Amino acid sequence: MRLVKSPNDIVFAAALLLMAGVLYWQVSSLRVGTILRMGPGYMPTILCGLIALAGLGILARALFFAGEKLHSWPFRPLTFIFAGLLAFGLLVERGGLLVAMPALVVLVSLADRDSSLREVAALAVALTVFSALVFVTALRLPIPLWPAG
Amino acid sequence: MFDAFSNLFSGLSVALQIQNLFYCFSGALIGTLIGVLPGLGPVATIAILLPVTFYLPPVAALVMLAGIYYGAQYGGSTTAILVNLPGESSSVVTCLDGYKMARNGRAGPALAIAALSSLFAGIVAVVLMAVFATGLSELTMFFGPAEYFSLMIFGLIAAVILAQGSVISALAMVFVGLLLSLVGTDVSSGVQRMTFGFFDLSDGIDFVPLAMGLFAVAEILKNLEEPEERVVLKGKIGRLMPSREEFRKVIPSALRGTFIGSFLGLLPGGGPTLGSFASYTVEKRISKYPQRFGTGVVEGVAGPEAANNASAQTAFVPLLTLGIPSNPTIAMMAGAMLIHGIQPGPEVMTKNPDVFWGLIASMVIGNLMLVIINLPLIGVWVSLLKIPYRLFYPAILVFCCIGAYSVNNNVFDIYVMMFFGVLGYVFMKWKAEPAPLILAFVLGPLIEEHFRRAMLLSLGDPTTFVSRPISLALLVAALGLIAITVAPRLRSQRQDA
Repeated sequence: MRLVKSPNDIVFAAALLLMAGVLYWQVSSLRVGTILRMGPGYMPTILCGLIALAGLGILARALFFAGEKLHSWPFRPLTFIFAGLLAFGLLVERGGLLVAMPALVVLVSLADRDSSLREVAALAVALTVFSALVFVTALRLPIPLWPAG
Repeated sequence: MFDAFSNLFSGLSVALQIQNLFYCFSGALIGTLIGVLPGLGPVATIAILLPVTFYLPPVAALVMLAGIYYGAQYGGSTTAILVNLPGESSSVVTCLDGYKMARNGRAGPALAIAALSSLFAGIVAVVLMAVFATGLSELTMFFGPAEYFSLMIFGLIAAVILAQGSVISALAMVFVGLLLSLVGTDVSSGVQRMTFGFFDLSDGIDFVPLAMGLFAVAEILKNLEEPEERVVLKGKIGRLMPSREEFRKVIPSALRGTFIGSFLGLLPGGGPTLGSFASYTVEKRISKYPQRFGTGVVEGVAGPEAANNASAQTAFVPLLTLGIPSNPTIAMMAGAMLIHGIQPGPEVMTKNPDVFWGLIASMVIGNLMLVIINLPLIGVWVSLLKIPYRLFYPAILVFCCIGAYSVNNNVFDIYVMMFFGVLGYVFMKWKAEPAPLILAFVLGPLIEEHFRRAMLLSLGDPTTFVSRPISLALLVAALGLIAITVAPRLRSQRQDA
């Protein structure tokens, strides 16, 4: 009999406990106050406690009830989606939409194994032109189009 | 009662203005589109389009966003019937009999029954909404901070119960959502809370990038990992018209579905998914041939389809009268109202009657448009299903980035979206749904505020929540909800172990 019956839940519980701990460290300096005069730290402190309790509950469940094994993490989608969004964020104000958007489309397309070069290029052009026309020209969203000069 | 009708007619005159008709149609069209396409739901879509609606008058914006919500109920049933994939969670039960009908060569009638039941339910629900809203807004006189607090607790508990996965994971999501909502400057003391020194967090986490991350980016990550099988039904859809015998069976089911859905939509935590499941259960239980459910019976399509559309609409009532959003999509609508300077709550009806009645009346028009969008144009939607996912998800991300950036013209919101996209994906891996989190996030500040006020009024006596009858009733109901779900689950888990 293994000690841990649900490794997936153990990780979840650990994450909740960590989250409760880190956020408690953030709010521990705030005044808690009394129930009549709630300070800014009142609710956050209670909630950190409740998250920790939920974490402990899930921990207990992981020890006593059978559950799922650990999941594997899909490296490819996570990396490229992350990279694409980061690139857009870094580029949109400096390089403008016409630079940031193709970068976004190309990077996130790499997350799917079946993407082909031609398809991605066409998609990048189509989405960039569409966004520029619809969002910037027609709807006048204040997004820079060209590189800041 | 009479007032409700005369108001509804004045609302109709607002809804029939050419501009509002246009945005109603746009909303219905976009709603159908995202309903058909799996992997993009109304929450993410409304989040994406919110920044665009900054520049519209409030009525037009809300009419369009509402159209997306109930339009998605129509579109969702199309994929459920033709592909056996629910476009939205509320059309899960439509797969059971709708897809079987299509397999039996009755795809056309199944689609028609779904659309016509929804239309019927939509129109009846509008009338019920007018009546309910008028009644409920009078009830708000008896609502003090303690009652509001307990009502929101009830709503959150209901969301916990309805979430897939275990109760404790959903509770954890509620606590995380509440805590995240407190990030930023505390309104009553001006102190910064949980900002980790980021200046951009001093106004709190914006709910648009949060919702996009949890509902759009996380969903994309999940779909890329587990590609869906999409087998579009081969062959012609055929004649749409159901037979006379089918019609005879559909009418009572659609009626029951409408009333079940309308009622469940009103409950905090309720909404289309609950409505459709409840209706299917009822239809099966009272049927003379329950064993045939799941093989393609029309009642199994008509009831749930009527119910999900009716509850999508009546779910607006708690928001418009009490100011409490009852599910994540309605929470997005609450955000839209706030952006346009309308405080959701009992004052909407008195201060902004054109918004209130215009929005409700627009649903009659929207439903009529949806039948036209869905039935004759069904071929267009089917061909959209053939677009491979790899061309589709970059487009969603493009819209998300533009939407997230445009909320405050701040790149920081893109990173917020990215962060919650990964977090939401990880939570899904841990079998914890994001829906309770986002609802708690929207209710969080209200809960803290009403708790604070209730404590001031009762001079710090927490028994105020159980000594006031309405508040007590709501809390008892919430406890009851937990009891009926946890008890059987624990028993079965013990047997498994």
